[in-house]
Amino acid sequence: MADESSELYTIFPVFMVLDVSASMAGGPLEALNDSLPALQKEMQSNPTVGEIARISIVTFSDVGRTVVPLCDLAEVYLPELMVEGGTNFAAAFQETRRAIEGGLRSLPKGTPIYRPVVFFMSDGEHQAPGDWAAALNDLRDRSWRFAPEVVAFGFGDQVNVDSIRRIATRFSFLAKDADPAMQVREIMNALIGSIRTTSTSFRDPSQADGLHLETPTEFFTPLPPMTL
Amino acid sequence: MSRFRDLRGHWADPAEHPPPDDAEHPPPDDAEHDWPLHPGGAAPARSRGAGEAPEALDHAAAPDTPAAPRATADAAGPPSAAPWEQPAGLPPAATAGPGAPRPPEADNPGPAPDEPAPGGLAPAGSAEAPPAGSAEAPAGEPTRPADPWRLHSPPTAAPTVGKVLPAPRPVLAPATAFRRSMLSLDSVFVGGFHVAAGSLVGTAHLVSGSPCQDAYDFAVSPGGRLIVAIADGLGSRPHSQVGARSFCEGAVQAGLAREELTAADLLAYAARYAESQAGAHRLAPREIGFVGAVAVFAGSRGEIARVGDVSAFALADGEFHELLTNAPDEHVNIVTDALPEQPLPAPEVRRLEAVRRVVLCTDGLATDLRNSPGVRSWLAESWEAPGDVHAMGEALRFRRRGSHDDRTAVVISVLERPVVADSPATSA
Repeated sequence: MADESSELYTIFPVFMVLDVSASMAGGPLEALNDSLPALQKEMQSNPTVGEIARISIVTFSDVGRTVVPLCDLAEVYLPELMVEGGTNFAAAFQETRRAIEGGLRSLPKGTPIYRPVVFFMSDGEHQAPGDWAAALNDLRDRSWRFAPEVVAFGFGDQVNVDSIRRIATRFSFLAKDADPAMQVREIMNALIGSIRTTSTSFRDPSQADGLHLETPTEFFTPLPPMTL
Repeated sequence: MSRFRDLRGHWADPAEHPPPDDAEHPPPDDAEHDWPLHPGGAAPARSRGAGEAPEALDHAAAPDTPAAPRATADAAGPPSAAPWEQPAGLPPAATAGPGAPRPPEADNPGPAPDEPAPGGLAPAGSAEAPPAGSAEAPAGEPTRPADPWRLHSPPTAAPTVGKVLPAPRPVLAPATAFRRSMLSLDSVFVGGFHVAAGSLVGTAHLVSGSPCQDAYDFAVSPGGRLIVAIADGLGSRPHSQVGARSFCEGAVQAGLAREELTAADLLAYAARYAESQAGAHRLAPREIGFVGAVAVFAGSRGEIARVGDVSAFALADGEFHELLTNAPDEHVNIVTDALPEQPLPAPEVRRLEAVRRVVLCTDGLATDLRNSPGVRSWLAESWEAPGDVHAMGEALRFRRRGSHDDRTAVVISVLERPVVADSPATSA
């Protein structure tokens, strides 16, 4: 409940978990970097998004990095994402959970929040030693107060479709375009559109649990859900 | 929580709490001076002069902005020059305000956002943030190309709470069916009550081009009961404004026809009526989904029944006390109950005793009342005494960061005796 003396503003926390492994080199990573200003512009120009959505950017390759902690993206200097090494899903999920916990715990007590959403995108599959299921379970643990909705996007020739399905809580997609760079652009457009629509729609008792995805079938193939 | 104390434990006999105006306006012989209405134009003056300097920005302390981003893994760069941070020599983006440079890609037609100190208020008509569609560029703003489509808006004393972005241009999507007014207002004496009500379209609808989806209605029955209905169409349903409007009409019609029906009875009837109206418009029940409440008052006693997250507050001694339960730990974008559904979700019912002023409101306003001391203060001041129709509109004109839902409130004041229309002699 609100404290008598402080304003509590509604927050829609969004965590972008982006693959920056070596396979992203070239067009895909350029497309990723090119899309961030569009997201920032949306935050700066649309009050229904900019006043509610808070964005965090987490990258992963061999390790996970919180490149931008949860913040008003309109007010930060955008990073340039760089290509790194291998692909470690476990590191991605562990770092994402840390970013969610840290970001939401930093908000004033009683802040009204939307259910956090993680947008995960990858063009590969887990290559590090050890399994990643435990880290994913920790991230999706429904008993965790901040358990997010995880939406997973796969693209490229090397993507493991079953992994993308496993990662998502309910919604996973494969990008259709033949060009990986164009696939990344469409994923980022879908991500920005979903943030916009969800921020604008206040309630939805439907099965979507308040999340509104903008993933046109022209560009994406919805994958059937898979439970762990 | 203590802020929303239980009504029964807080209120005493209404005779011990005369309306605030009574001290200055002792009950006269005629009804004309019994409940003087404060006009909207005379709203409490909080406004800072347009030429005065805005309050300093303080993003470091902004409650909704976490501490400046810091890399958690990449320690290659110096701590003061992380890759996402503004390079040295450039003003931080957070200081964008009057006179400050703006991102080159920003194309907002309005002024740069500004943020008062957390919890602070700034009049919407001041330099910090113009009212929706304001045509006047605040003093100190950089000169920008004239926007021929910016709408003129008269100044307002309503506050701006927190940092807000310029209001969007209001648009209506082509082929919008079942449009509702962007603004509805009432302020009338009816039986033993004064009812002031208003419904204002939310900023989100101005952006998406969809109509206001809230609705309200009220009437006094032949037996003197006041029937009030309020509803909030679900944003995800394409024609939810039809459901909200039909629900309110159905509740009032049933309340006028059947004196014995309880608030819960009226809610159930109204939900069925709304469903029938959906059929009349060839709409599926799911397309008109909404949440709603019905309140029935007989003198100072009342009863409220609701399904969903509309709410009710008692206003007494300048404080709001929520009368219905709220689940603060639930995520704000998830609602479990809605209408019209079969079977009908069990309504939450609250009985009221010795009430003097009750506010029924939709979630857009209830959220602001729960979470914003600034809004609570403004609305308590605005509704401390019954106001005229312009005062009701002025009350809803505040802007608050993140507050983009439709706003609807019905403010019910219980009178000590009915007020009748002016006779020619008294109005002369």
